[in-house]
Amino acid sequence: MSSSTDSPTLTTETTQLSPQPDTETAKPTKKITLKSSDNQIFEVEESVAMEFATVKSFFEDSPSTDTVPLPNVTAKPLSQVIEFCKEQIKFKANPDEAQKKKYNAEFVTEKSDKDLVDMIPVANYLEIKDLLDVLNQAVADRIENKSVEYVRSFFGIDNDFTAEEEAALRREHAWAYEGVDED
Amino acid sequence: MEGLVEHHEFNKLPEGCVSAILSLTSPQDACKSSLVSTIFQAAADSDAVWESFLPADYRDMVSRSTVPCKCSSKKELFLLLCNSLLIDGGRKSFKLEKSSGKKSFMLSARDLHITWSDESPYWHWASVPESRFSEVAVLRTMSWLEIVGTIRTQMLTPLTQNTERILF
Repeated sequence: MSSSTDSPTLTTETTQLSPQPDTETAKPTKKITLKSSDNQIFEVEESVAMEFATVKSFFEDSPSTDTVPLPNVTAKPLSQVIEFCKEQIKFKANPDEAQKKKYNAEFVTEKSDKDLVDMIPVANYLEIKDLLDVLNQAVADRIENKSVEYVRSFFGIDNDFTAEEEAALRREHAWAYEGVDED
Repeated sequence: MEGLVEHHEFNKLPEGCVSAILSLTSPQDACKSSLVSTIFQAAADSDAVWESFLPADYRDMVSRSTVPCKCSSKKELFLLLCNSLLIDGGRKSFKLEKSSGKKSFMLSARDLHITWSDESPYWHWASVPESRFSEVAVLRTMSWLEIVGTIRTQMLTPLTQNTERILF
């Protein structure tokens, strides 16, 4: 005689496997509006905006706000920073270290020197540590073993030393100016 | 509505960002970049940058020095360690390679195992003004030359190909 208790009934199985309503996708995602210093409006998902520690703490202090003005941030670097953070959200949902590394490397490789330099203060101000690490490393790689003049033009910085100060500094570290790469 | 905290001269890179970038370059790049601008100079002299160039065990090296190392900044300490420093009671010398910050050690004759070094017909010990060490082993005659030097690998710079040389 077969034991009916050993085999689970089909109805129970079906009940267990029945799809649950997906609450995540059913819920409308909240959008947050960021306004750049040049008055461009960026509508981003809340999860992306929360990647910006500065914006996150702004919302913790005043939760009813829906537009965050960013008076120190212009539209171009902001759009690039948003693009980076959107991808990072995907990697948070589906961790894949190799893909993330590849994406981060490609993100900086295709950017101009100016794009990288302009994004650093933005990433610093918005406190996006992952992006800042990626940008700092990319910039360090691009200026390594380059001449002083090259570094100045890379960052768009003017020499603010007097001729005497400059000469004194050159004497102090004379060894460091030898054997740099061609610009 | 008020915006987030205003930063003056925001389009300029903050010193902290410059330090973070310079920490990822080399001692040579950091020294050179003092000349870029005053902000770069402040960053290039900062302890944050030079701490990253000093080897992880620099405190251990300093504590093993035969003379006290008094430095007011990490940069000064780094440059001091680029001139060789006698450690372990003067039996070894230690120095950092200036452009990369990599370590090099030199073992004195007293720190080597030299077969028959205490047998006066073969070797004798002398003090030579040109040597950084107080004593050197001088070979008189030999029928057998065997010199063995050992160094703990933890003391060497990680992920670096190390070379050994014997100086006569």
